[in-house]
Amino acid sequence: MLHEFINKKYLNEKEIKKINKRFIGAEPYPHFVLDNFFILSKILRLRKAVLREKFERIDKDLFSFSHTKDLISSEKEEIKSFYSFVSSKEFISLIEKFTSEKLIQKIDMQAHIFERGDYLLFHDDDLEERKIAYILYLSHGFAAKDGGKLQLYDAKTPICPVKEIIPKFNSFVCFKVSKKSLHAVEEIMNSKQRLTVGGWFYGD
Amino acid sequence: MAINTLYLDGGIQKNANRIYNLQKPKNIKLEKMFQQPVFLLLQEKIYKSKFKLKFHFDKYKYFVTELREVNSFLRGRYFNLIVRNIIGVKNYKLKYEIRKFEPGNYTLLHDSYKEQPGTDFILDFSRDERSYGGYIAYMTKREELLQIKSAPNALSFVKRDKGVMKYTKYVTHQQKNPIIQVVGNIFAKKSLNSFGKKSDS
Repeated sequence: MLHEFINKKYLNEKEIKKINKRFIGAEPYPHFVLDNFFILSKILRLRKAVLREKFERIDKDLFSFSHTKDLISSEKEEIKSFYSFVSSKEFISLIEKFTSEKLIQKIDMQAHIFERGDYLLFHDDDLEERKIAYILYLSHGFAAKDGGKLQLYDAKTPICPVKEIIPKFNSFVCFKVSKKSLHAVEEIMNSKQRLTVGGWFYGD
Repeated sequence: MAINTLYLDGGIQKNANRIYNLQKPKNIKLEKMFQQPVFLLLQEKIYKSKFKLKFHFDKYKYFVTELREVNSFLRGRYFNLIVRNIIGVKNYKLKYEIRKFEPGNYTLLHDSYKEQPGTDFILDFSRDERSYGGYIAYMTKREELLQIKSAPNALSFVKRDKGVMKYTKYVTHQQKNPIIQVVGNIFAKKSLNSFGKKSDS
């Protein structure tokens, strides 16, 4: 099943160990960024289906963006199939190997669109039993100047980001959720649309 | 300090007081507060002031300055008359800041940031009629009550009851000139519930 969705280069034991090592040692807190992670044809179909979902605009003090409801309620085949893959035992077990975190078979998943002027200020995601946050980028052609970077901060000195991740199409990001996992999404600086699917893996 | 003389007229004050009291939450925006040449002079002076960054990552990020002329106005006779006759508050204490919001600046709602109930005022020295973010949103835990959008040369008052909090919306890169406002609170020692009449509370 894993081979049906994931780029096979990420599925050999040696690579899995390398990713795990990178994840644990990453600064400012455990995370990884895996480019071209999913099989391209699946992701192109997923992107098309997600864009047909209903998005709701939301403006608060901490953020401005549009988002879907939890995609578990989607009736689109491509989304249902992706949701059941991400919540499968096989995939969650792979995430456990990547991260050394004990997870349960529970996830959530939403899609987000950030457009010009949209942003998400500092926060840590640390809520309930969230263990690992994940984001899959579904927009083409983002460069540093476009904004929309995922910014990871050192919680002790949250002035400049320690790391910035450009939202490259089909890259998959995970980070460990804790009081330290301070992060933000940089404001979108032009007419590009930043589309993501993301959520959390849970533990006990 | 040459303010718009309309706001010193007894009939207009009475009418403004009525409008203020009819709103929920009580609020009013008094446009063209200063005579235009005076406003432009003050605006120029504030824009040229040296601002200091005020930053706490999960509470606020903006700049502050001080200006003698603003302090004189807020402690002076005209402001006192407006507060007394339009807002219905006399013998008040006030505190304020001159705030500058550039792109990327904001204030957040925060549990630890609980202000005591009172009347807020926003005296706006911004240059641009249109702003991108930078509005002040008044909220309860359940809902948003009101947004005060930036408006050059306007003086706004908002009655903030218990449990009402506020934040300043993140200013985006589309904002040309910074938003500069005097933002303060008035805490009444005695209040007047309508034009000149004492309240029991």
